Amino acid sequence: MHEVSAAPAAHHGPPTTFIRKHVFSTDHKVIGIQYYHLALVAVVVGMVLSWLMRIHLGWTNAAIPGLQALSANGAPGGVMTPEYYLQLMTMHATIMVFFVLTTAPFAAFGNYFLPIQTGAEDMPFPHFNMMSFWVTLTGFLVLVSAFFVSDGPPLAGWTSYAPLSAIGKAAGPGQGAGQVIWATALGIFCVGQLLGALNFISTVLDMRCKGMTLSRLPVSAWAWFITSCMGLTAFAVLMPACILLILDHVAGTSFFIPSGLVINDQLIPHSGGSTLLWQHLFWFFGHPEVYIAIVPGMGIVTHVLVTNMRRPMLSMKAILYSMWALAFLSYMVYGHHMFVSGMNPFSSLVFSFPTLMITIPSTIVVLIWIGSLYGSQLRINTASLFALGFISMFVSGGVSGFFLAQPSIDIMLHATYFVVGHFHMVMGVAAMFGIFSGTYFWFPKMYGRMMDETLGKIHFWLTFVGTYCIFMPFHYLGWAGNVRRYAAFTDDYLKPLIPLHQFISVAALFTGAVQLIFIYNFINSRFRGAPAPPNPWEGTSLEWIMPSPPPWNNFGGKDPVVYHDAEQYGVKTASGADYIMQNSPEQALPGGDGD
Amino acid sequence: MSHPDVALGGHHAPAMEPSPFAIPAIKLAMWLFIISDIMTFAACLVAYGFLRNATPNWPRPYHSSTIISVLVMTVILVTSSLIMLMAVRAARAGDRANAFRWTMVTLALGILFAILHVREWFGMIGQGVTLSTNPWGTGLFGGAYFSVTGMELLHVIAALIALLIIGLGYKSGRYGAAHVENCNLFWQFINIVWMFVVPLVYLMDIAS
Amino acid sequence: MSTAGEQGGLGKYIVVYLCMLAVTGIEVAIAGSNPGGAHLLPIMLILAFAGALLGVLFFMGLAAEKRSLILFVAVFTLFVMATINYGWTDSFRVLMGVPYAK
Repeated sequence: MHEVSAAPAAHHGPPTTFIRKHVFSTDHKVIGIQYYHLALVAVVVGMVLSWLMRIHLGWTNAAIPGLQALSANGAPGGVMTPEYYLQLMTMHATIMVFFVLTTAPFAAFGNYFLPIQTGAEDMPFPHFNMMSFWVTLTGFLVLVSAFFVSDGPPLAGWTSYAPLSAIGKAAGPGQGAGQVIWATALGIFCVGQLLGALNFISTVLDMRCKGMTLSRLPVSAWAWFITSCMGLTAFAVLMPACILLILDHVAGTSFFIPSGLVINDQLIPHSGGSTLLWQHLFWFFGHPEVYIAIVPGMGIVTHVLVTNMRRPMLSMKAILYSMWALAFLSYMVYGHHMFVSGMNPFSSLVFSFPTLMITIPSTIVVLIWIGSLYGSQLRINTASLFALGFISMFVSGGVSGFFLAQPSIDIMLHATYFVVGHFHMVMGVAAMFGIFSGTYFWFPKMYGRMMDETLGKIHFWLTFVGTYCIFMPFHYLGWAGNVRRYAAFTDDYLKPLIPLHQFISVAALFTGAVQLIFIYNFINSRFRGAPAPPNPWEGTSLEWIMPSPPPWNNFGGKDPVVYHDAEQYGVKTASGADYIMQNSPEQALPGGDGD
Repeated sequence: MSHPDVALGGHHAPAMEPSPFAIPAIKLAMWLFIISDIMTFAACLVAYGFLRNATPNWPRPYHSSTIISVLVMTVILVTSSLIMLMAVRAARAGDRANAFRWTMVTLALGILFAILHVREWFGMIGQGVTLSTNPWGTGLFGGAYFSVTGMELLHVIAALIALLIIGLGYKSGRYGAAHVENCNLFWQFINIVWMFVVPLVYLMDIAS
Repeated sequence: MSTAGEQGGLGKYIVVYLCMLAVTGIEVAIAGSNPGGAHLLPIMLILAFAGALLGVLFFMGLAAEKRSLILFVAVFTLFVMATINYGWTDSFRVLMGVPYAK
C-alpha cells in the first residue's frame, strides 16, 4: 500500500535560464529576496505618502510641488484637499500593514531562512511558493493602480469601515472604483499569504533534517511557524469579507449597508445590512494581523540577541510559550478595536479581560530579554542595536496599550492621536526595527557581502531618535484631545497644537531622509561590500554552515545532521571557540558561561 | 512510524526527522488548506446567520418541493462521498483500474449534484429572487442565499475539476495514491460543509 | 501512514453513511414539523455538528490518524471557529433594540 510516498516536491534541479533563476524561480531563497525587494519598494511608497500627509498637517496651505501631477482633483495647485488627505492615509496604512509589515519579516526572511534553519533543501511545494510571491505582487500592483483611476484611491482607511466603504461614490472620491480595487487587492493578497502559510507549516513539520527535533529549532523558525498558523486562519476570514464588500459595490447587495441611510439628502437604495458585521469580520482578521506583523520580529530579535550576547536566553522555552500565548489570545481580543463602535457594551468587558491578559506573555518576553541582557557582554553591532531598539519601542508602545485595553479610558482616547502613537510604536516602528535588525544580521548571508557597520550605526541612532521624536508627541496630542484622521487643525481648539505638529513633521521628514543612508548602504554593500565569510557573527544555526550566499540547493547536496539546539553559546570547547554549531557533534566541556 | 519514503527520479533521498503527525507534506498541506477553508466558510455562515438573525422580515420561502430536492441532493452527495472512499481504498491497494472507475462514478454523482444545485438556483431566480430583491421580504435574502450556496457550488466545481484531473492522472500513472487521498479529503470536506448549509440555509426557513 | 483498521470491509463506512443520512432525515423531520420554531437553531447546529463529526472522523479518516494530528486539527479548528462567533450578540441587539438577547 505504500505507494503513498508523496515525495515532498523539494528536489528540483539547478535553474538553467535567467527567467527560472531570477524571475519565476522556485528557489525559496530567490523568492525570499523577491519578497524583500517588494517590501523595500512598498516601504518607500508608504513613507513618501506619510511625508505628504505630515507636510499637510504641519503647513496646511503649503503647496507640495508635483502633487498636482499625481492628482489634479485631489491636490489642485499642489494643496491637498481633506478628501485627498484621507485617500493618502488609507493607502499609506494599507501598503505599510500588508505589503511591508507582513511581507518583510514574515514572507521575506521566513522564505529565505526557514527551510535553511530546518535543514531542508527547499520548501515542500516550491511552485506554490513561487505563486505566493507573484500573487502577492499582483495584489500590490492592483492596490497601487487605485492611484490612477479617475477618483483616486479609497478614503475609508485601512479598516474600511462600512457603510462608508460600502455605499460607493456617494461616500466621497475614491469610494467607487478605488474601494473595489482596494478590496480586490486585499483578496488577492490573502490568497498569496495562504499559499505561503501552507508551505511554512509543512516545512517546519515535515522537512526537518536528521537530528533537528522540534525542540532544537531556532527561535526565529518557531516565530515564523506560529505566524503561519495565525495567517492560515486570519487571512481566510478577510478574503470572504472582501468578497462581500465587493458584492455590495458591484452586485447591489446590502451586506454592510443598513436600511434608511440618507446621504446628501438622498436615500441610499439598500436594505437591512449590518455595519457592525464588517467590523466583526475585519477585526477578527485584523487583530491576529497585528501579531502576524510583530511575532516574526520577536523571533528575529531573540535570534539576533542570543547570537550577540554569547550566552543562552534565561528561558527560551518561556519565550516560545509566550509567543504561542500571544497567537492564542490574539483571536480573543479583537473586540478591543470596537469599544466605540456601538458594539454590545457587555462585550467590552469580555474583550477587555483577555486584552489585559495579553500583556502578560508580552511582558514575559520583554523581561527575559532584559534579564538575559543584564550582565552579558553584548556585542554591539548594528543588528544588535536595532534589536535593542525593538525592545525599547515595543515597551514604549506597549505601555500605552494598558490604557487602551480598558473600555472606559479607550472611549476617551480612541479617536485621538494617542491610539495612532500606540500602534505606530508597537507594531509599526518596533516591527520595522525587527526588519532592520534582520537585514543587518542576514545581509551577509543573503548577498554574500558585509554591510557597512559605521553607516549602519549612524542609521540606527538617527532613526531611533527620530522615531521617538515623531511618535512620543502623538501621545501628548492624544491626551490634549487631538482627533485623528482630520486633515487640518486650523480654526479650532487644536490650533495651539500646530507647533507640535510642525515639530513632528520635521522629525518625520528627517527620519525619512535618514533612511536614504540605509538604502545607500544596502545598494553600495550589495556590490562593493567586503566579501562575507560563511559565519560572520559566529552563530550556531544552520544558515551559518553554508557559504555566503548559499548555493541553489542550500547544503550543496549534503544532508546536514543536527546534534544541538541553537543556543550553544558561552560554552567551553576543545577548540577554544565559545560556541558549538548545531551540526557539530562536539560536546561542551564543563565550566562554560552557559552552564 | 517512519517518514514516508521520499524518492524521486534519481535524486538522493535525504534522511529527515519524522513528521510529528506521521503524514506526508502533501496530505498535511491539504489538511491545512481545509482548516483555512473552514474559516472561510465559517465567516460566510456567520455573516449569513448574523444578517438572518438581525433582520425581522427574513423570508421563509421553501416549500416541500425544495426540501425534497435538497434531500435528494444530500443523498447524492453523501453517496458520492462513500464511493470516493472506495476509490481511495482501491488506490491504496494499487488497483488503478478500480480506483479510476470509482473516481469517475464520484465525478458523475458530483456533476449530478451540481446540475441539481443550478436547477435550484434557476428555480429561485424564476420566482423573482435577485441579489438585491425578492417577492417576500428583506432584499438581503437573495444576496445571502446566493453567496453561501454559490461558495459551496464554487467548491464543488473546483473539486470536480480536481477529480477529473487526478482521476485521469492516476490512471495514467502520473499521480499516486496520495493525490487520490487528497482529492478524497477535499470532496469529503465539501460534503461536510453541505451538512451545515442544509439546516442553516434551507431548513431554518421552511414556509409555514 | 496510519491506515490500520482500514483494511476491513466497508461495513463501518456503510454504518457511518446511513448515520449521516439519518442525521439529515432527523433535521428535516424536526424542521418540517415545526417550521420557523423558536429553538430550531441550536437543534440544527447540534445535528449538523454530529453529522460533520462523523464525516471528519471516518470519511476523512481523522479517527485513524495519529493522536497528535487529531489534537492539532481539533484544537486549532474548534478554537478559531469558536472565537469567530462572538459577533452574534450584536445581531440580537439590532433586532431587540437592547444590549442583550431577550
